[in-house]
Amino acid sequence: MSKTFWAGPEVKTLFTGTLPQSNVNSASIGPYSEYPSIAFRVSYNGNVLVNQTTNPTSYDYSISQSSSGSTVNFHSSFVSNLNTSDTLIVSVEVVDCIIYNGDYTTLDQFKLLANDPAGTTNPLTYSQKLDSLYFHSGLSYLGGTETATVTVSHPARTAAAANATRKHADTSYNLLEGSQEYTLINHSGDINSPFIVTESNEQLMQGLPIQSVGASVRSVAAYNTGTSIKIFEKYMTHAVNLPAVSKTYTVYVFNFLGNSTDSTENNLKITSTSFNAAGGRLNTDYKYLRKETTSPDFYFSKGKTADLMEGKIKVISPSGKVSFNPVNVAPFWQFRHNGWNLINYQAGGANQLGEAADAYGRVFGGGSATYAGFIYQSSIGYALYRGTFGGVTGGDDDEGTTISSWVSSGNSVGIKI
Amino acid sequence: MSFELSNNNLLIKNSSNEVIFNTSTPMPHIIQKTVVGSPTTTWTSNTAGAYGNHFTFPLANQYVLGHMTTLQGYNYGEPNVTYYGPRLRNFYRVSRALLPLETTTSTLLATLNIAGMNADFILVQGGLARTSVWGYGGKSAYNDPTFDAPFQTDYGVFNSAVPPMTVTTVNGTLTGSYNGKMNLSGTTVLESVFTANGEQWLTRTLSLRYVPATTTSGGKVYADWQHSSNRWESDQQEQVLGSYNNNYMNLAYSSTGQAFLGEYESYWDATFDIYFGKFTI
Repeated sequence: MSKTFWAGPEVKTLFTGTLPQSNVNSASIGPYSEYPSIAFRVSYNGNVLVNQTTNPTSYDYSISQSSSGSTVNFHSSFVSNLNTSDTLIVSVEVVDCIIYNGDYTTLDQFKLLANDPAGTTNPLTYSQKLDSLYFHSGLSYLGGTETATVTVSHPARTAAAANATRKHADTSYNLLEGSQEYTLINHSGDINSPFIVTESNEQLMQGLPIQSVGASVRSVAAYNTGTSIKIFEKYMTHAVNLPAVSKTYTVYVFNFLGNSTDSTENNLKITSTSFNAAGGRLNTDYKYLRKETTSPDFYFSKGKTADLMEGKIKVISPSGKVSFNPVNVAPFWQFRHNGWNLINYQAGGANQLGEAADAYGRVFGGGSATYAGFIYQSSIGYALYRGTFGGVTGGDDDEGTTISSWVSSGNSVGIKI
Repeated sequence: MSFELSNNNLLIKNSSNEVIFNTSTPMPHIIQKTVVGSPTTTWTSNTAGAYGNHFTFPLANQYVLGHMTTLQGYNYGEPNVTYYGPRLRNFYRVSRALLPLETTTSTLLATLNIAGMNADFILVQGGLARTSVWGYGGKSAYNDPTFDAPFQTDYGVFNSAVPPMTVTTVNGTLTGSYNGKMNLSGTTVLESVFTANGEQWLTRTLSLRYVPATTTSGGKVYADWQHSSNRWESDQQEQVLGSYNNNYMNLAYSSTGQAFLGEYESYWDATFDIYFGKFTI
């Protein structure tokens, strides 16, 4: 089937009917999420009213614009005409841009927006349109991404001094805690601008420890102040120092690409360096987000990225990588044969020695008369998390899942800016 | 800037030759935004709110351990008492303990308003605040304003990297409000407690979970507030001296009382901006 690229004018009706009393009282109606002011058309009892943008000295209404949209304000010279029994039609002329799967004969089926007005005759449902659309300027896109990569030097945090009044696991320590903030980027958005932060190419899990030594721990989270994205570091030390550590963060701040308020952009504009259509919604100056399966910059996640059991946490980044799954580092006894550690040997394997591993990959007791090894004290640990999130976890080399299966199973989707 | 048409594919590049648009690459767009909770909420006390959560330990999980040692002796340490012959006296070593606890509280946040429609992805932003700081928890226990969180007697303060709420004081009344907005997609670690060897003993998280549409409902997004803690027996044992010839002691009336105090509770409040998204083909 062929693809069609179409850009052209459309008239969208925003309101039609009798004027409510509240609007008569306020001498205004709106706001509507449409721009710019020059595009508005207002008809009252069948008469076309004069817009301030076309006649600044003698007009019937003007358009005021805010973050909520455009509001029609009736001029003081026209207010006395307002009546609740009168008919008002508010419409807007815009340039839409549509790229869809189909030929030109089906264009009208795609012209209307996602929120088709009730009663509008259109053979395609909303879902059917989405199934055939590559681009529609009536949809809300993410793009115009602002990004920065910053290496933050988290300073050393000293251990707390002993203190007889505060007890920690049968030993008396002081507790030192504190926080520090680091700015990753100053952005042009606002408090509602979505953002994502990665650390060492994996999505940063909010609040997760990035460093722990003994019971001393350093955790971070990222947040949006409205003008910048900051890393909030929280540290707490007991008996052990936290050495300085450097972390490299990449931040992506997204914008919702809406209609431009610039009147000059209500036209199709093509220059030697840019293409601009549909009130600025299709604009080569934007970098739209796109789906990416091979080397995405980050992921959108549809579900949880961690699970808990017995207080322990296992983290699977949206990429599918098991990014946090602490192991028990306390020494324990295990079999060794010809220099091999036999902790994860499964029953029936070519070099099997000892009994089959348990559900967590550990081998206990047993031994083969043929391959008699010896027991030594190992410092190799086993995963502390004992649940089934991402598959049963065994030794520290058994993550229980794979990157490819995690994403392809629908847990997350890769995105490129 | 270029438009390239080849093999029924449209490719648009900007002046830096970067791909802006490609009909062979699906583009994400937002089909619905739902806001729950108020980002301008303020608190003057422990508050969980309609979309937050109150974490606590049920009393059924708390108990007191008592170890009895029977001693025999004469005039055991009490002045001005004269004994005639051997007598028995019991000593108890009492400590507080906790059973492992796994709980999850789920809250429906938003539903796509078209029945049968699924989102291809979700994006969740929001305000998040631990409101358990009102002279409660650590403050009262340590008498130290820098320890402003719930705490556990052996392991210390519940550590959290969630930015603390902004607090203002007017006429002696503390008022808190959200400190910015966070990306809350996936899982966020709310607070955690570590033992002396660095193992996590308690962890609490917030996860955002998508549930597919049905024939009568659009896709839904839930907030799962999860608590997990391991078994615990306090290292801080208390010695209790029983009376003479009394073989049993009613531990319910021991000086330690119940195993836990309110410091182990914590209150979280949240507001969510939920974006449902789909890809073009």
